[in-house]
Amino acid sequence: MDNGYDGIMEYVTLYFTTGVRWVCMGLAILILLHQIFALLRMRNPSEIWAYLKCPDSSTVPLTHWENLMGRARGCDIILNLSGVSRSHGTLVRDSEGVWEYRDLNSKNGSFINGRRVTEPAILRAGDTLTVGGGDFQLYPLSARERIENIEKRKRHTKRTSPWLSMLAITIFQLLTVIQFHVALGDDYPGQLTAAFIILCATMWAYVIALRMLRRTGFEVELIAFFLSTLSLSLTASAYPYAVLKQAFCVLLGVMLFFAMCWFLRDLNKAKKLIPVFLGASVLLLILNLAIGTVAYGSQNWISLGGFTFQPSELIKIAFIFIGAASLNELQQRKNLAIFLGFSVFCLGCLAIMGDFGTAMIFFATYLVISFLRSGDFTKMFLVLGGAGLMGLMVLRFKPYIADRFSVWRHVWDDPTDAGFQQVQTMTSIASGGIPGLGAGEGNLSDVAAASTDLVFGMLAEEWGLVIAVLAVLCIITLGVFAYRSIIAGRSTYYSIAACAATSMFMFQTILNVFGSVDLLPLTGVTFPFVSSGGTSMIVSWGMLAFLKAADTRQNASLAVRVHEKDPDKGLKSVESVSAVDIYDPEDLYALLGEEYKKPPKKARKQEPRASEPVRSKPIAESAKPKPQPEPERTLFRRKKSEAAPAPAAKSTPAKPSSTSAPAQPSRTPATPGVRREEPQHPKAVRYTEVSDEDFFGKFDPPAPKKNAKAEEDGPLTLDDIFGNDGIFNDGKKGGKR
Amino acid sequence: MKKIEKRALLCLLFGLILLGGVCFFIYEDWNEGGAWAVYEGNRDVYADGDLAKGALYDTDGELLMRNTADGMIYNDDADVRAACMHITGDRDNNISTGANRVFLERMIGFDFINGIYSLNNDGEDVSLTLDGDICATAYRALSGRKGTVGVYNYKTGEIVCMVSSPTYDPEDPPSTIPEGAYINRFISAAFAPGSTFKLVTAAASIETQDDAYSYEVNCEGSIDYGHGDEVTDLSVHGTVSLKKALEVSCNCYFARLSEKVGSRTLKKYVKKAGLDRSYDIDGIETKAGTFDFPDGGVNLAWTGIGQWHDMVNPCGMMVYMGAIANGGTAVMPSIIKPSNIVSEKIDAATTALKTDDMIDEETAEALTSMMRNNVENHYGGNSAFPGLELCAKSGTAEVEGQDRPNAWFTGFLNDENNPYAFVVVVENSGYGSEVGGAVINTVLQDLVNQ
Repeated sequence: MDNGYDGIMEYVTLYFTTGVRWVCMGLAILILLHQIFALLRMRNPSEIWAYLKCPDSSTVPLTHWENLMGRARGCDIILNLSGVSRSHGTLVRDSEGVWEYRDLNSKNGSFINGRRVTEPAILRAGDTLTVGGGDFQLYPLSARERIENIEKRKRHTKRTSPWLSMLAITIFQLLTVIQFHVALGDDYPGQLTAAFIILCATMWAYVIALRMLRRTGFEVELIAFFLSTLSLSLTASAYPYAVLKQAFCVLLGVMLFFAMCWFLRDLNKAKKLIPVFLGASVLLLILNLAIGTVAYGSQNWISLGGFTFQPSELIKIAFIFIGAASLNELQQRKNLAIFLGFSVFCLGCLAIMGDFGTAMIFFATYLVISFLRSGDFTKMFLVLGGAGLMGLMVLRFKPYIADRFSVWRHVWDDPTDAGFQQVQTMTSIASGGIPGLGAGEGNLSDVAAASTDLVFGMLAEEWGLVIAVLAVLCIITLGVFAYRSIIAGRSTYYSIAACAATSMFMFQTILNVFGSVDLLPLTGVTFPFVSSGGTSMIVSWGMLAFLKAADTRQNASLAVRVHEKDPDKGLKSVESVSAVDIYDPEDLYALLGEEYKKPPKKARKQEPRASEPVRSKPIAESAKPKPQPEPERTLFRRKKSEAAPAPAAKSTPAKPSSTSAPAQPSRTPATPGVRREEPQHPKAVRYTEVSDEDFFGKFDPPAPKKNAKAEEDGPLTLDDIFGNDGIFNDGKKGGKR
Repeated sequence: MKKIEKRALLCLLFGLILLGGVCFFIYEDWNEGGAWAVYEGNRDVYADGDLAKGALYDTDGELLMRNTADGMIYNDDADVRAACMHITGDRDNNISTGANRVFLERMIGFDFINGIYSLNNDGEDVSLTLDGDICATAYRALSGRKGTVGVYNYKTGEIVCMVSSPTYDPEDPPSTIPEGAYINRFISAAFAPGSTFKLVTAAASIETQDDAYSYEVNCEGSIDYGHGDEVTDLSVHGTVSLKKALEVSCNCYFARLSEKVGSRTLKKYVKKAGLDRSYDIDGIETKAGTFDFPDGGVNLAWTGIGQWHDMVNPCGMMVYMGAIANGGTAVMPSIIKPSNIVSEKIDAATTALKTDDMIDEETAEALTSMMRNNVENHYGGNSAFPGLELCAKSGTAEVEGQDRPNAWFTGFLNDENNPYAFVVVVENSGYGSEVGGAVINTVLQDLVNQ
């Protein structure tokens, strides 16, 4: 009887592994391809932050926070005026909504309201910026345009529901735990179950928490969670009693990710902390040199109270923080010098530690960042040459590194010694085939550093070539995602940071994967998210925040601010909007006529003698009667602003009020269509989701005063219409001046 | 921002490098994966350096050999063990055609899709086309003499008998291993073919000479080429034509015929017959034959008779017999039964099933009738080979340093129900038809009547 039961169990477990390999492969394909395609398929339409009215009365939409103006092709705003320098000036919006103009030592100078710009100057709505003899004016968007832009962006942003993938990941984790029971039998470490429960709970808690904050983009995080699951399983094979630690490190990583996302939302605040990071990094590296312990041939570990970590991993985050720069910083020598000095310091320390692999990663990231910053190939080549010399020196002084190079592409000549790890990796990969041998069933885990340096081999052996290759594709996808986010990027700071972080990921993966299969010399670096090792896991999650900060898809990212600070205010606007029903973009398009449908790019190309100013129509329409001004006003007003006729031209230029004017007629035709098709409430909720703090947010110092005034005075001001957005308050002041 | 956008293409370059490298690696894995998996350092395959998975069965499902954690297990019958030793391999892995060397990927169960995964990590069962009992019969028929017996089904290509001697019982190896016991003579050796080669010379003549059948030579027992060089016969045959000359294996006739056909044509027909090539039998490479084609004179004469520098692999000769039996094209020999219909289809799609045309169909028919004539009128007919529709050619190859010649006997059964082609080589034994004929008769009787 007992024998019979055992026999059956033996049979079941035998076939369990056979089947689960394919099931897990299928789940992995489902999860990763779903998320990868979601990221690759996504389109991230530009956000429009303001319009620049040109001398020919055409307007250019500003689609980034940071805009370079000038005659050169690479400028964001190309000015075809004779007196304009190639790079004339920068027009930059900060996260509070204040626009600042800087002159880049242009030949003929720039003027704001006739005054020469020598120092960075705030450009307010209605101020006249004179560049190369032409007068430009900055206008904020009308609220209607904002809604329309948001609607447009929402339509173009395809949402991928996270739930199916999360369910699949959970099943995957469950099957992994059962498979470990089968594979390890009595040796099954109890903490393995706990570790997987922690990971699973972290994932669900994270996604649910973010859904409650109304974020909808989870592709990047789910990919990271899946890779973390693999990491946990590989750790379980190689170091069964370190699994719980690894799971806690995922949790810590997610917390760091969360914190950094929050932190990166406000660029001004984030940048203030750069000196702190700089100091802390330098201290940490010096500490590492002083009390670091040697492991695997390099002195890059610090042991504190029984807790060991790698400072050089943590520095990666600081490195990108310090390396990235906004458009204005790109023009400053000092900023570059700080970064250069910090890089040299880091590389020097790593060289002393003998951590060749990490030094390579820092160097590659340094090259990427400096290229992104300068775009200067000559400089790059100089640096490359210097580095080549340095590399030769390293080769000369470190015979063990030279050994690794000498065996490169010849590992089969010495399969038991110099080429041992690579040969073991390759045989294991071949052994695993497409679906792998099953978690815990591989034997590469007995080889030193299998779950870190040779993790690609272990992944392919236990989980199969398909999952191993998918893991690499995930990293590539993150890179492509970072690149594509630039198109709608707000600040170069975010874009440079995202590209640098993903380049670091990709370069690390190149060294790790290619090193282990003898396409490159083995350098011993980690595979982001997948390799065992706490610091590496935490840092990988931290770096992911840089990517998330560049994810400007509507409502996608925690690191991009979306929501309202004053819930009361948000609520009010919801009600107002649903009452007016002009948020359906189709109706707006129908009203606005043909010109409006023209893509913004056309408008961007400036022709001094353009016969058809793109946005001249609204001006012409400003004379139209306003039969029902009240609903229009309440639409964009805050709670306390009462309906009152708006003196259209009160102290502000005609333009903003005129652009808002066409919104009125839209009411009538729009109303029936929308009401018929959709209930109001869901729409209204959606509007809350898209309401942007930046649109309705405060520009702190002058705002309360203005608001209070508006309350008392009664008549509708532009404040009431657009919120006390920094631009507008200042715009009014400028107008009065 | 625009500038950054362009510069960030650099980041995509990393992605491209990564993608390209991974693709290249998958290509390498596809090509080399088998070699990697069977590498003796592969921890997933070898435990403490010993292979402990995979088993070898004969065509009837009889176990020939199994790798276990406690070493190799063999068949129960000592004769079967000795007869099949060159395919099962010995315990020390000395046999180059042993299954643990040539079928390693299959024994481990490696393929690109599954890797080395097998249920319970047992490896795979490999079924051979060989019949253990027939091999044992052939082994006994050789009765300790050096040599080889090979039989294959010329319709399907399945090798049913492959025995090489000297051999020994791998379960109970003798204290001194006989010299040459590690060599599989059927696969890895080449011998002077002697008169069996006359079939090739005859085919060349039939297909290139208008008077092939009517051409006659007056055999006086020898032809003098001067300087003491001569071609000799054991007896004077008088005036002979092709048919008669093949029957009596007249050296003088084939010496003249070689000169008439010429060196270049002879070379062409050796190539067509596939005697100078190697065959891939499910991963086992046969030794290619070697030849030297002198422009003329006594050496060319001896070349056409199967002496001089002619060296032929027994398997290659057997396949040529298969071509004659099959109307000019031979089925490629195989030794492993496809494990399932899928791998059968894959095999069919990826490997050549047939050789190129070795001879014309009419030539094949003519040779068949002449080889039948040999058996009926010269090798003892039905009394020597009762009940067998045998077509054959003998060869008695002189080898320097040997007391007696090597006996060759090769041919096929012209029998739809028993489509077997064969080759027998018995070294240092005597006349081809006598010695080889007796061995193959024993084997074929067993095979046909089983």
